[in-house]
Amino acid sequence: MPREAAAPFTSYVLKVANRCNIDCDYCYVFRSADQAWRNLPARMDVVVARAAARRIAEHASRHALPAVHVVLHGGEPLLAGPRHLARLLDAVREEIPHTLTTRLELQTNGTLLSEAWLDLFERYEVTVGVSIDGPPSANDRHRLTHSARSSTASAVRGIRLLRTRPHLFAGLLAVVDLANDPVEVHDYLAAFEPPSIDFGLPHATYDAPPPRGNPDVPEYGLWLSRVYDTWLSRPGHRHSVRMLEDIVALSSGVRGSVETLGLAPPATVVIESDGTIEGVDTLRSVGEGASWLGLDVFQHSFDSASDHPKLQHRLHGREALAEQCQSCSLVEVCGGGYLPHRFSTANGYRNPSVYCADLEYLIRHVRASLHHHGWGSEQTTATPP
Amino acid sequence: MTSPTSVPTPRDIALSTRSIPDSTTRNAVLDQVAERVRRRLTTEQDTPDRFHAGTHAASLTWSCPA
Repeated sequence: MPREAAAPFTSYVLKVANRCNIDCDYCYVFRSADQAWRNLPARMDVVVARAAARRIAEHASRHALPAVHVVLHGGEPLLAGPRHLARLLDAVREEIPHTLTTRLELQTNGTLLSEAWLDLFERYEVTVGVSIDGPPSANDRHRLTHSARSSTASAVRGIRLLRTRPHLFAGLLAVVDLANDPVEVHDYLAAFEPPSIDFGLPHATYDAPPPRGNPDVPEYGLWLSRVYDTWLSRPGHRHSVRMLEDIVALSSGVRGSVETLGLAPPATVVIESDGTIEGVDTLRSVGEGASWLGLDVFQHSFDSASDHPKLQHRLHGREALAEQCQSCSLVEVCGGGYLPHRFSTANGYRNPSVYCADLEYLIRHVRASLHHHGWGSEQTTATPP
Repeated sequence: MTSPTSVPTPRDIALSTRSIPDSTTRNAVLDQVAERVRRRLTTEQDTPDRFHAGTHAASLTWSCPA
C-alpha cells in the first residue's frame, strides 16, 4: 500500500474538562463502551496545557504551519471555571509564539454561559459554538440533565447571551434524530442567526447500527435533504450549513472539509485532561481502548502520533477504504464516511459507512440541485456559476 | 449493504417532499455559498504545497480562512 507523506496536525482539541453538567444519552465521552473518562482528571492542569502548547509550537515550527486551531472541549469545558480556564489560556499563549496565528474556539452545551464567560472569551479572542438539537421537543429527546430534566431553557439562555456578542458566536451543532422534523429543526436553529449550523449523524457502527424505521430507505439522507431544501428556500438567513456546504465544496473540487467527509487526512489531534494524545476521540463509541494511542504530550511529539499504527488511515486516503468505496464515483465527496461509522468487529474499518446509502442519497440530491441552479454537470465536478 | 448504483436518484424516488423545479434558476443562498467555495478553492490553489485537511466534527470553524 503506497504511503503518502503524513499531513501535519493543524487542529488541537484540548479536553479542559472531563465531566459534564448534563447527561446526553448519545454522548461518545460518557455513554460509550469506552469509559476512560472515569480515570481521567476532571479538569486539565496548567502543567498539561503548557506541555500541550509546547508540542503545538514544536509541531507548527517543524511543519512551517502558518496557523493553528485550538479547540477547548470536554465534557463541558465551562466546568473548568473561568479563572482556571484563563490560566490554561495564559499557558497556551505563553508557549505558542505570537508570530503563529492561533485561532481559539470552544464548544459548549451553552447552559453555563454568562456575561463573565463572554468577557473572558473577548479577552482571549475565543469563538464559541453551542450544541443544541433543535426546539425543546427535539432537544429534550436526548439532552437532559443528570436529574432527567430539560436543559433547553438554559441552553437557549446561553445562546441568547452569545448573540449579544455576535463576533464570538461560531454557530450551533445539532445531532440528527429522525423523530424530529428537519424543517422545524433547521428553522428553529436559524432563528438564532448563527454564522454556521451543522448536523452530526448519531454515532453508530455495524455492531450498533443507527435507529431506522425502514432499513431499505435512506432516511438520514432524506432528512438532511429536506434541511438542504429548506436552507436554500430561506434567502433571508445568511448562515452556512456546514455539512451541506462541504458537500457542495467537495463537489466543486475543494479538498479540505470537515473530517466526516472527503478524502483529506484528518488534521485533528486530541489532548486529554491528563496529557494523553488521541487521534480520533469519537472512536470511543466503537469500543474500549479504540482511541488510545499510548502517547502523551510530556514524552511524545505530535509526529509520534502521525506515525502511530492506529492513525495510518491518515496516510493511505482512498486505499484505506473498503474496495466498494474505492471504486465509487462519490468517494471524493463522501470519503467513505466518518471513520467510526465504518467499524465492524468482523472487518475493522474496511467497510462502507453504516450511512452509505444516506450519504449517497444526500450527495446526489445536492448535486442535482447544483446542476439545476447552473453549477455545471450533475455527474462531474460542479463549477460555481 | 446495497451497491451504491442501486439506490434511486432524487428524481426517481417518490419519497422526496420537494420536487426539483422545471427551470434553471439562480438561488440567493447558493450565490453566497458560491462566493465562499470560490475563496476556499483559491486558497487551496494558492497553497498547493499545503495539506488542506479535515476539521474536527466538533469544531465549527473552518481550517481555511473565510
